[in-house]
Amino acid sequence: MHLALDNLGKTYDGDAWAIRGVDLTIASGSIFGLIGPNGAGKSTALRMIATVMDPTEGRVSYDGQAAPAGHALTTTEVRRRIGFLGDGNPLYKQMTPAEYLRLYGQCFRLDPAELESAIERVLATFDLTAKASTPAGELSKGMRQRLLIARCLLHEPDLLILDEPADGLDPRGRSDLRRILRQVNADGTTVIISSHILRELDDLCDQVAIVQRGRIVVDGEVDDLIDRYDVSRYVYRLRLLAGVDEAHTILGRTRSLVQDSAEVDGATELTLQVPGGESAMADLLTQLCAAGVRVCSVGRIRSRLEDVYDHLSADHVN
Amino acid sequence: MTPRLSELRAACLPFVTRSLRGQRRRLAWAAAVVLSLVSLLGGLWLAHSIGARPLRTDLRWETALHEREVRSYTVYADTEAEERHLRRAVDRLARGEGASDGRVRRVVAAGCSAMTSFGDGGYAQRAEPDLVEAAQRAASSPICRHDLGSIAVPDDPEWARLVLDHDLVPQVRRYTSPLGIAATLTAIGMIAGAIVGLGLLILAPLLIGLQMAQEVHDNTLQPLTGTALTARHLAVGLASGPLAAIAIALSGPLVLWGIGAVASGHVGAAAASLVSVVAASALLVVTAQLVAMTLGRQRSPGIVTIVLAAALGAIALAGIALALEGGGRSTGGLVATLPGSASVLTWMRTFAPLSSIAGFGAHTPVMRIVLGTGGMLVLAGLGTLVMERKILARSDGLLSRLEATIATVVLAAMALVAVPRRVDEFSDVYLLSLFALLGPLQVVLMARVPVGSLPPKLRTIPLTRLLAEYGVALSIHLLMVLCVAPTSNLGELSLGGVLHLGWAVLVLGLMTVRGMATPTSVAARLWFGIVLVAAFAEFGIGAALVADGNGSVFPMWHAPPLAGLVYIAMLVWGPWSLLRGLRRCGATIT
Repeated sequence: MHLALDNLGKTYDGDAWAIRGVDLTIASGSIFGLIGPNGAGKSTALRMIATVMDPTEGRVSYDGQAAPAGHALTTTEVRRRIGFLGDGNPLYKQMTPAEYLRLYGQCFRLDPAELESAIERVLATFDLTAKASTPAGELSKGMRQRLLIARCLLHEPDLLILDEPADGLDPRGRSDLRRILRQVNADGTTVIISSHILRELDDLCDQVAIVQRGRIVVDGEVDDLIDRYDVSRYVYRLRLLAGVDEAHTILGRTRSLVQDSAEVDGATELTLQVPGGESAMADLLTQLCAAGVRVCSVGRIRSRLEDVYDHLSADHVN
Repeated sequence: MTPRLSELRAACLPFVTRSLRGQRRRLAWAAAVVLSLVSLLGGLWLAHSIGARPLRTDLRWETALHEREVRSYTVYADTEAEERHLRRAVDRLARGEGASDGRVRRVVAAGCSAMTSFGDGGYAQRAEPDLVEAAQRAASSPICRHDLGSIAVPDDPEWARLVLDHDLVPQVRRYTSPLGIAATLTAIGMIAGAIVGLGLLILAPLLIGLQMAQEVHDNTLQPLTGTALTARHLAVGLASGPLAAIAIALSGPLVLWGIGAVASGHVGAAAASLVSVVAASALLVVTAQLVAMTLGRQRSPGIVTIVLAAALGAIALAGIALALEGGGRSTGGLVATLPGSASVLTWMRTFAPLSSIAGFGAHTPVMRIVLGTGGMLVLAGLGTLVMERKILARSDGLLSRLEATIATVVLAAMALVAVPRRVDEFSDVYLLSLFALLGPLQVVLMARVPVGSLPPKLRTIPLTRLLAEYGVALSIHLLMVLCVAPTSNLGELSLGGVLHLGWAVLVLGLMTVRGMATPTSVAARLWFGIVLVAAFAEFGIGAALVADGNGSVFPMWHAPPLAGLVYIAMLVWGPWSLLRGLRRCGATIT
């Protein structure tokens, strides 16, 4: 499903805008990440995209179909194509996973035979088959989160919207989630995901948008963003066999910033930020060698999404 | 299946499945069996037990025991010991030793009185000569020689013959209920009907309200709004779940109710009772859902349930009390309009011969019940629309202008129906119905204020238009009163009284718009309370002036000047403060 957000905005009190002026295009079949601190407006944006909340201004169009500005498109046809996991969606504690999924499957009007096979499929996908008859109140937090995500995939939506889906998942669960999302995306589903854990999104998303104080600060392809913000902030890792003190003295005289220093296999590894491009690093290396510092290896570390985010934001909360 | 039915099925299926999942379906059926047994056993007890004899007598299902004893010239014993005691008393009587037992003495007194009346010429003119002769002989028998006192006796020679056949000595028998199979089925149907009524009028709204409060409080409603179900589907579907379980549980009593109705011979009254119960239940269910949805955001489901239980209990008790007293001249209209009351009345008419006695329900004629029931159904439908729009949280009003007009017409009609029949002056009919209508009319006005999910500062409140619509609603009511009430004293109405009434009604409308459109602080709520009291006082002053026509337009004329000034200040400051509050919140007022 191809999405276009046109000047989307929402205010709850008429003064402060939870989010405003969002203009985004999310390509069909992509994985889109929404990044931002708590209170930045991510959940509000996702609710509006999921059609469960009217925007105060602007609109969202789904494959070119949109409601008038200030209204959510609430047609059954569109909603059957969306799977949405909102922030803080609770379960019915006395319902078992199978019963819970059956309720939602019927709400999405799945054919009875199709519904039972879909329940079995998602329970197996999320490793919940053994817990199919256990009341949700007795499931662990991670299992409950998996069940909530499973509910969103039950009706095989064209657009999957997940607000902080990795909350409560253990490392294995997170890894499984990434695998599942890739698999779902490979089947053509557009995925929109928000998360605080940027490493989760780094190699998962095709596109990201960073939200600060209710505004999109930057958006685009992940690789493009990293490349764009990598230019002004080159990070290297030096492995030194001797002359660590001399190295620190020389680095102190330059504009370099030592991010980290660690002993690894009998050598010292320094992680440096060296502004000024590769020529500045070449000059620094020459100085180190001239001072007798024994450099056995040097390598450039490519920036990650997290670095771009840190660079762009000071994590201001609305 | 038609598309509409198919849609309804799709809306209800998830919630019905949820309500009847696992053991719940079996529990519902078990409840059906238990409730059926309760109906059966309760009906059997009511129809045949000695303990329920006073009830049967009160319900006119059987004649009072003392009458029955005289009529059959038999004394009935409830227990074996009592039977032995009575037989000893009767034996002594037969031996001419007099009647030692009070009940035996009363029966014998009736027999002897009858025999004596032959001599007085009472029966003598209609009875056979041999009977007259035998009676005169019996009147002088040793049994009648004792001072038995005088007692009214059946004016029936056949009964006198029965007494003579027994030689003035009453029979002794163990008591058995005189009710046959049909009457027993009627009693069972009566109990079953009461269970169905309580289930639909109290249990259903309570459970559905509780469920809605939980959905709102636990935030489980929002994910449901993101599914393929529309807001209307959700409004109907959420109610259907608990209703399905209740319907199963009540299925047994419902069948028994039907059988009882057929056995009683009042199938029409039973059908009316069923329709009335369904209409009242629909209105109460929708109201409970709306209350739970509104309160559930701020209060726990437990608190909401207590509030609902108290309100439903009060309505039920009032309804039952009004219906059981048969809807007198003052309350006959209320019976038709109070949810559930007409159901009780028609239930009584179905099962209890008591209701067929002269005067019972005479002031709640069928037309009033039909109007009340129809009104409840229309209001339930409009309530469902309001629910749908509340779920959508759109910033338009919860009712369209046309829907609000329909609601006004229905409410005004119901207010007029509720006016006691003895009230026949135009001013009294108008004032009473206006008083009854004002509260519900504020609810309609609330539903017209466009708020939804828009923050107060971004709202546009069409105050002029809303007040104009409010005025039209009041005019509709006035027109309806003009159509149904005699207008002979129309020219005598006090203009001053009308002005006071107008102020009260306007201030109430302004309060409603202000409270709905903008948030209210604690201080504002306190001020609302003061203005509300002032509005009611003004209504009372206006009503008194309109009814009397001779009072002073300025009621503080004889009060100290300071009190008069405070009164005038209130008249000006009240509405002005409400308008100022609307403007200060930042909303656009048009």
